[in-house]
This record gives sequence, C-alpha cells and structure tokens, in this order.
Amino acid sequence: MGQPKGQKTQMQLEPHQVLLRPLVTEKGVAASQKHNAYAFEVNPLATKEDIRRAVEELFNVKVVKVRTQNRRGKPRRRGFRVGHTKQWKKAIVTLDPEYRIDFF
Amino acid sequence: MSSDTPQAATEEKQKLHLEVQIEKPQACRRHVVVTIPQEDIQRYVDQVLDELVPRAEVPGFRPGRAPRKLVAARFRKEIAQQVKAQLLLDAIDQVTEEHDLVPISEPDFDPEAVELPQEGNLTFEFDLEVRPEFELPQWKGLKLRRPVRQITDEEIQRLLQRMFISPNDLVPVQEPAQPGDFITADITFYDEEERLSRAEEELLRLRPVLSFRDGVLEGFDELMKGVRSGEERQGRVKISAEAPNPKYRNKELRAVFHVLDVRRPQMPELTPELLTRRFGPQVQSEEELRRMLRENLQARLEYQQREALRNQITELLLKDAQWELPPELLRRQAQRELQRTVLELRRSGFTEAEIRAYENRLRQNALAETARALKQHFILERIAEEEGIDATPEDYDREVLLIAAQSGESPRRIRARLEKTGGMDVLRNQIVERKVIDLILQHAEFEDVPLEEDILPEEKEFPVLFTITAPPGAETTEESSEQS
Repeated sequence: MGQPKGQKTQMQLEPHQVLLRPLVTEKGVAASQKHNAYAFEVNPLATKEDIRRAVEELFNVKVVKVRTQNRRGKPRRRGFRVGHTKQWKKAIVTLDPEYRIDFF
Repeated sequence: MSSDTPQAATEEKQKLHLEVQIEKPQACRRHVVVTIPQEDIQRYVDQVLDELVPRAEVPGFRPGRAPRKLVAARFRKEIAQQVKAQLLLDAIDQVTEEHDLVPISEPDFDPEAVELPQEGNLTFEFDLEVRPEFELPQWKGLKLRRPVRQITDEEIQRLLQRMFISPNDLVPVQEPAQPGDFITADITFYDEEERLSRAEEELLRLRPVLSFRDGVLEGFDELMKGVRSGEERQGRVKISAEAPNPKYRNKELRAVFHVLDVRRPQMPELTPELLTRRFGPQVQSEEELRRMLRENLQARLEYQQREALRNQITELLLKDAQWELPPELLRRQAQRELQRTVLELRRSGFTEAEIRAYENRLRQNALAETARALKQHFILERIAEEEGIDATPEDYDREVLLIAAQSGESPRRIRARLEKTGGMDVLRNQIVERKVIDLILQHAEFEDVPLEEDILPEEKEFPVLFTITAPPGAETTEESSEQS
C-alpha cells in the first residue's frame, strides 16, 4: 500500500508544507460551527505536533486538540488499467473557544 | 424558501436613493451622472444572494446547503454582473421617471465599462436622447380643407392598362422608341473619362425621370425618344447629396446607354384563364377585375385624402415648432421613417415598383424630410400621451391582417418579419399617429374642396435598383436587378 504509517522525515516541515488546503465541506463547516473544529488536508508526513504548530502559526490561534486520519486512495479503473487515487492525510483541529478561523 | 419571494418583491419596489446630475448639452440630449449609494448596492446583492443560495451548487456541499458567505465569495463575479445589470436598469428607469425625461432611444453607454465597486458608491454616466420640450400647439378646432372626388371608369381603364404592362407582355418592335416604351440597355457611367460602373441589360422604361439609388437622370424620355436597337445615347446623371461615395456627391456624371432592343407594352386579351392565373380564383371575369380595381383605387384615394389632411395638420402644427434636432438622431430616424412610409404605402395597395420609386426619391433627400416627420411625430406623440391613446393588441392584429391582405402573404409570416426587422415599433407609431390624427379630425372643422390632383398620375419616374458610385475603397458594384 505504501502507507506512510510510521514513516518519518528528518526534515523540519514549514507550516505551509504541513497544511495543504482547508477542507471546506458541509461536514467541515458544521463541525466548525458546532465544535470550533476545522478540517484540513495535511502532508502525510506531518505529525500532530507539526499540524498544531502550523495552524497556530498560520492562523494565529490557540489549538486545543488535533486528530488525524490517513485516508486510503480510492480504486480507479480505466479500461484494463487498474489504479487508485492517492492516499492523503486529514486533520481535524479543535481550537480554543476564544479563537475562530474565518474563512469556513 | 417560499417566504423569500414576497419579501423580494416588496424590496424591489423600494426606490433607489440616487444622486443625479443632469446636463443639457443640446435641446434633445441629456448627459446624466448617477451615483448609487452603497446601501442600495448591498440591498441588491442581498436580493441576488437570496435567490442564489437555495440552489447554489458548491463542491463539498449538497445543492443549496453551502453557507451564504461561501456562495457570495465563490460566485462574486456572477453576482456582481447580475447586480450591476439590474441596478443600471432600475437606476436609468428611475432617473427617467423622476426627472421627466422621455427617452427616444436607448441610452448611449457601455454597461461593460461600468464596474461594480467592492465598497463605496457606484457612479456612472450616460447620454440620452430625449424628446424635445415644446409648447403643444392648439390642435382642437383646426380648419382643414378636405379633398373629395369620385373614381371614374376612365381611371379604372388606365389602371387596368398599367397593370398588364409587365416584362411578360412586351413585344419587341423595330420602330423608334416612344415615351412609355421599354428598352433594354447596358449603361456605363463615366466621371469625365474615368469609367465608374456599368449596369448590364437593364430593362428601362421611357419616363421623364430615370432614378437610381444614388442619382437621377432628368428628361430620360426625351433623351431616348426615337432610339432604335443598336444605337447609343448619352445623358447626364445628377448624383444625390447622400451618395455612398462623398467624392461624387452633387456631381454630374456621364451615362452612356447602349440600347439592345426596344419593346412596346401590349395589352393581352383578358381571358378568364389569364385573370385567374394573375389574380387568383376569385377573379373570373373582367367585370370582377374592374370591381377589384375600383376598391384598390378607393383605398388609394383614401390614402391621398388622409395624406392631404395629414399634411395640412402637420403644416398647422409645425408652424410654431422651431426647435432643433440633433443630426445623429435625424440620421437614425431617417431609416425608420423610410420603413414607416414603405409600410404605409404597401398597406394602401401601391405596387412594388411605385413603392421603390418613392423609396429611391426619399433616400435622396431623407434628412430634410425626416426632420419634418420627426417634429410631427413628437407633436402627435405628445397629444397621444395627453389623451391616453395607445396601440392595443387588436390594433396590431388588424394592421397585420390588412398588410397581409394587400400583399397576399400569410398574416403569420408578415408578423414574424415585422418582429424580426423591428417593424412592430414602426407599426405602433403608425397606429398611434393614425389614432391621434383621427382625434384631431374629429375636432376639426372641414371645408370640402374638389381633389384636383390626378389619383393615377402618369408615372414620371422609372426606378432602377442600381448604385452608381461605390463607397470609397469598395470594388465597383455591378449588381443589377430585374424590374417587374
């Protein structure tokens, strides 16, 4: 599977290398309103600590909790070619109630 | 969601808080600068969002579930465009209404050039042509002279003869040509020695005037009198002041006619077969044809009567109308006026050739005529407004039916063509003007006078649909068309 589970890097990832994009979806928006939690696609190599630091630095907020999920790529087929989409990592970052991120 | 609609409707009625500056560079022109405050813009944006949000499709959301803020950000361009269009439209409407401007054409401005600001007020300006302000002349109790007369049998006979003169009923003759005969000729036009254009195998009739699209040749019948096939004659064509090529305007050009043959119109025998073929199954005998012609002449007579009265009314109404009209307006209106006249003539049963002759003549001094017609139109329109006269759908139907009956085409096709060419507007003006004239006539005092003018004047003019001078830069046109 090439799962990066346990894979590590010696490199110190910069905040913009950690957070790839915010996940602006119905579910994400609901979570942001209800729990002040925001979803991001993040670098599969990033750790929860990396993510916490990146969010705090980029958005100037205080992070309470980071949860992550490794998402497997979905199988795709084109004719006889079988493949799958890339695997990726999702992070749900809960903020301190005093802070919010605006663009969700 | 259904509660949004009535709310939106009430908001739409809410007026804009506009700041308006109007300048008057000319009597018929207004330069308008409008400022729309930000609250109004925001109100319009909200309205558009109200409509958009319940059906917006944003990836990551089920349709209509995306948050308002997100929709606003994602569709910013579309929303801005829609808001701009609505705002401009409503603002212009409101300005014309509040400031009593009566526009006579579309406002002259480019909506693309106006940009909706992210924040702050929106300011835009445009030029508008408005109806000039003037004192309405006294139109009740005008004293008019009404021309009256009867149709005579002799006139019907003449019309009958004229109707059967068509290229099919011409007999080639070897004798010299007389006025009224037809000739086929190649015409070559020269400016001094330079050859300008050439029309080939044109069928021409020997009439006092030969008119082209952009010029006339006077004394054509005298020029060609006694000509035989194979001979050549030269005449001088006066180019009109509105010819496409400015170089030749008002100039006299040399026209060389090379006569190919001479033909004489001959009245065919009026057999029932011929009549049915020409006029349809309802005409079986000469008797019926004459009755039909009488009706046709009656319609023409009424047209002439109307025109005579209309001219008198115009004369009386325009006596004090000394205001000026902007030239661009005149030029644009000239085209419309032409359309109107053609429509009117067609409705009154004139033949295509007669209409074309008139059209050629009109084209040549279109501007002066237009100024007059335009003033008349403004006055009549004002009266219509004050008296609450407008065209109803039934009026349109009746007009379309009339034109259809005269031209023998189906009403549906006529209507389609009118709508396509913008003729409906012309028709509306025509209906309204006719109604106003009727009203004026109701209030007028009449004095009957005999109509001296010949209702069937000998055709003085033979029109050729040929343009002698090509516009500068264009190749010389060599088009020619068949005469009927």
